[in-house]
Amino acid sequence: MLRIRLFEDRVLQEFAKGEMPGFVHTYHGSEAVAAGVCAHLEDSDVITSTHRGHGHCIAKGCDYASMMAELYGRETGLCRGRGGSMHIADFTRGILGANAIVGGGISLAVGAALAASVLDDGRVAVSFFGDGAANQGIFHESLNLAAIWKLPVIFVCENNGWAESTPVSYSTSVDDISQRAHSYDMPGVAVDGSDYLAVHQTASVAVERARSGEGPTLIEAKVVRVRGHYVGDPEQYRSREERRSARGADPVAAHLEASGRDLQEFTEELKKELDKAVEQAKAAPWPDPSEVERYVLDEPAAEPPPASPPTALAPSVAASREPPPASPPPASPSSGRTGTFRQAVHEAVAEAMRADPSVIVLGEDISGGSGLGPPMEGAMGGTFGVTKGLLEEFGSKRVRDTPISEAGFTGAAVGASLSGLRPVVDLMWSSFSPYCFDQIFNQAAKMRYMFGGQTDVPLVLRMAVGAGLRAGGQHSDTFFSVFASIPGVRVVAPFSPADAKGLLLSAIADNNPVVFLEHMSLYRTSGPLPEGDCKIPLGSASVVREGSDVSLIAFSAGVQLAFEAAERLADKHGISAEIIDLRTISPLDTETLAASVARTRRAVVIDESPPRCSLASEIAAVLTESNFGRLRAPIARVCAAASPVPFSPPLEDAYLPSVEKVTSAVLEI
Amino acid sequence: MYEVILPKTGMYEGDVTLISWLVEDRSTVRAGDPIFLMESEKVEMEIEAEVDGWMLQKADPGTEAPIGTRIGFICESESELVQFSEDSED
Repeated sequence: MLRIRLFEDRVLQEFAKGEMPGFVHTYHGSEAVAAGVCAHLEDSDVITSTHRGHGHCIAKGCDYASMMAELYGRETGLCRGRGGSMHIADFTRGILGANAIVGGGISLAVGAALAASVLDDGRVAVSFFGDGAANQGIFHESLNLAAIWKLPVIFVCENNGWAESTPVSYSTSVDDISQRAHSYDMPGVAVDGSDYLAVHQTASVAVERARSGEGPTLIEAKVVRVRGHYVGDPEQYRSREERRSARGADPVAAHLEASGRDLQEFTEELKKELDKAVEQAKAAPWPDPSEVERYVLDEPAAEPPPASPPTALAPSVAASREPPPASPPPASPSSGRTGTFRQAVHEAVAEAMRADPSVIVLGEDISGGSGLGPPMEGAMGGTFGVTKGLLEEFGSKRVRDTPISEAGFTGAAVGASLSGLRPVVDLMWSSFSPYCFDQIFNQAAKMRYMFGGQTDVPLVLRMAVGAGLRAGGQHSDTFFSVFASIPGVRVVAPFSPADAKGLLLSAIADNNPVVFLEHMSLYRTSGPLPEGDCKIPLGSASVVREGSDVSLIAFSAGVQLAFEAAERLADKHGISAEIIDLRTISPLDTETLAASVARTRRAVVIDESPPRCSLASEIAAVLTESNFGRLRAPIARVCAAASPVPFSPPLEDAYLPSVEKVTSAVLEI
Repeated sequence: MYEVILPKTGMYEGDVTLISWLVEDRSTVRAGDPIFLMESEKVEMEIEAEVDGWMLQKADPGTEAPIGTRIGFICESESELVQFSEDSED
């Protein structure tokens, strides 16, 4: 506690001087919560923290020097200066990061607890969050998930009475946030968060309960927010008297007084340690600007090794991993075996699960009938039948139906991926993905970078995309360019069954978040389907038809249009079209694209998304930069209409790219 | 003795202005009392004393300076105030 208080006092002082970049939020007044809870945790136990996270880090064992260096944005900081105060993390101590998204850490802790439960390694997870987070949907989804799966997680709400400037009395429907535990059938305890012994005692019961497999607890620690929301907050929303009274709250002094301890000498020692930490931080090197894109992705030079553990796993997790499985037999594409796209995806997931016990799948209705037992349970096997049979083979521990909580279970998958598992999430329709955009965009995609490469995020998010099935506006989106625009994720959109299988195997083995987009019109299509190790490296396009007059650049179901248009162009117009199937849309295989267009000197891009800021636009820009001097015509885009996907068949047909549109585009250039 | 500086109060890192003192020079202040008015990024804000003590002002209203510039002291005792105001006539 004293360590925390002195650190924060020093941060106040140093921040005011203007040498610390950005802004900071201090933990004054909540010291007893972090200290009382973390007293029960080992390094291998996991916590998630908040924008006000310095106290959690110190209570979990971080040293002043590496924290201070991070606050100053230096290369020697815990996150090499990539995170700062609001995103500070130390994976060697089980700190999965401070989280600047209110409530952002809650589902991650559920995921870490899920990993502990699947791996059965005795770890517990604690999520610290504020009263404001208790009004986020992710709080409710996460508590429900933890309750139905009886996960070893403790939710610790630090209720300081204020969500920035909004008082909890206004924003929250209940007097005690702990009451909300009743909705999720778990113990909910309110405790005086300024009383170290009370917090310690309450946490002891909750941690014991979690470790013994009895499930989650919600602790509400009522504390005083001693300072403003951030350092420098003028706090116009609190009266001067209230501010003055809050400033006087000091749980550390109260505890020391009650316990009759005199820590004067220790205080002086700590102050010296702080002097040194500040001095070292200020003298430490800045990160090298040439490394601005370092740590975005784990990018091994060659094909990624299968199931290699994330670099920064806590020792107990690393130890619990199975040795790498023996390689499957080499691919035998010449066997003449064929299968559907659906079968390809199924085989990739099943084979990855057989080869690596850390692969789990979760999502809505992936088994169906969960909890009812056979013959209903597992009979559905996913909305598109892709996951049928997995429950029977791998059991309900690794094949998990989820409630309709996209944010909650995707966040849990992210947390699990940081904690020893390789989750494959089935989001059903991509149109549902905005519900979990935070978990994809702010959490999964940014963690490796913000934490300075401390962790990998081996996660696959499968989604069905595309129109043509008369499903209307909210079941037909593609999201191609939305996901492809995010640094920190790879995006795959295959066309052929063989590519779907090979790329999904690579995606599951990859140490980065991979968004895997399956076009609904392709599930029933068939083609050659290899067995054995048929991985295809992510990021490589394939020239699937050679030609000399124009390059048709396509991906996902667009490749089918390209094939049909190419035939028509050859038959009716004597035009020789080359087709490039991108397969992976982030990163783009710009070399293959540029080489093809260098030969054909004309290009048409087919993209089933509205044109503005589409992948087609990106490809046109990239090729203009690389091939401008040799292009004989502007690059043409064949996209969907600039509208939501319509329902009525004539409208939907008009919305979609078509063979006619591709053919005309080629004839026009 | 506590140094009073023009503090960083958010993300803004440019120059700030001491608009006016809100307490008399050499008067006593309590932690939490507003002691001066500062303009940062066109926003005026009252800055409060962090500690109890005797206010010693070392800058004039209208001073525009970088964040972190020392503009005065809060002394722990009256004798420190006297001693310090003599020592630091620089």
